[in-house]
Amino acid sequence: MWVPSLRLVRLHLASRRAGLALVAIGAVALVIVLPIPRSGGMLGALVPLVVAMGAAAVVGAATASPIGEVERVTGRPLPALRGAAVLLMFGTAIALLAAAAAGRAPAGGSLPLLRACTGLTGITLLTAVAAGPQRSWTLPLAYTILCGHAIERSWRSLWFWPIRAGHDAPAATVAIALLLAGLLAIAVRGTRVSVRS
Amino acid sequence: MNVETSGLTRSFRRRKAVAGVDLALGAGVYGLLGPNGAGKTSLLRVLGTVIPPSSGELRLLGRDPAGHAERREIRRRLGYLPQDLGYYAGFTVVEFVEYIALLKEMPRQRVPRAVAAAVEDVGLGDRARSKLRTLSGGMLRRVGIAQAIVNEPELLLLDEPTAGLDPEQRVQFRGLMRRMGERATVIVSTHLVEDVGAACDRVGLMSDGRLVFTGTPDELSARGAGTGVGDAPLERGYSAVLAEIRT
Repeated sequence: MWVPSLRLVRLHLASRRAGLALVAIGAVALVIVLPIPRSGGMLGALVPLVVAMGAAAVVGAATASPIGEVERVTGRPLPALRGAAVLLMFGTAIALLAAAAAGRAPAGGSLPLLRACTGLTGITLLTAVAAGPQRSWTLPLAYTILCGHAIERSWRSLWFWPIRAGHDAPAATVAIALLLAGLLAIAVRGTRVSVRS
Repeated sequence: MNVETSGLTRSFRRRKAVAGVDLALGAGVYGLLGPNGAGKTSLLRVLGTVIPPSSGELRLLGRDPAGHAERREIRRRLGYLPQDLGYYAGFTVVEFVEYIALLKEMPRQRVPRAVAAAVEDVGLGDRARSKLRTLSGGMLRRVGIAQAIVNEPELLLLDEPTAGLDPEQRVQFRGLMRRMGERATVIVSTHLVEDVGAACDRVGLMSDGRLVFTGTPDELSARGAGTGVGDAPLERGYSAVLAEIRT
């Protein structure tokens, strides 16, 4: 089985500005610590969703390759490296959000926050594959706004899985499925690059 | 043959950028000339497995790039310099070339020596530890050439490699192309006919996605005798062939 060298992993992460992305994810997680009312109400329900979307957007932005074509026409390592880089970012986001939410989460606990981060990261990655990393935040943002309307109108359909109860198994399944789909797509296809004729 | 194409086309929406190209190339340096928009870059991108052909037959290094495993093998043995080289500005010259070498699955123990050799070959030995953000346009072009040759490719595709190089560097680069062409197929797209005259064994002239001339540089020069416009024999041949197909 082929295993990438640590040197290659380090260079790949550097090319994705992984250090900067991890700092940005940390900054997003800090929003959880801010003294914003969290129990009940529209704002209390929206804050975790917006924070999760912010972390997902950073993960999506970090999928951009500054190297482009030269990198794409190389061999076997690239899909594994792309997948590993995203997993590192996502894992860090989950860990930092969980740490920031400990003791500060609303009644549902930190599960809805982590679930939203999981699913929205999946949507972000799928958008990066389809529309490019620069636009990867657009669909998650639109979906978050839609979820805001759903909170207002007390909709609880599975289409709005992020706003369902913390221990809702179908909502968790959707979130994990989205993440896996996004991870697979980003590893196999990479992000969309503009094709000049 | 390292490159074999038959009826190769590549379309972007309704426009055919490559409109039926037949090629059979072994070792040597092949110059690709043509006006802007003739389809040179699109042809190189198809040959570089960046984009698939729309139709026609294509074999690279004896393999069909449509198959995943075969495409992977081709890419390991390919060197490619695109017209616009993307790079991470925080990399040093050595880091960038090393990254591409490792991605091309070169044996790890061979990488440091191969990287040093490629960087020396393009005359950047004294800037090996410089960050890419500190380099001039010509130096970045040479970094692009270094990453393309680091794996000692059997098929080397260079799109406008001498753009931004000064005359001395261009002379040095022509020598490098000739050396590479002794054992590999080198295809170089350029607007500089003097590069073609000095370094290429064969030359193709593209217009509107088609190869309208294939032959030696001398044969192209001969086409312009007494009719073509230009200061040098190759330029006259170039303009004469283009004038001929436009009438």
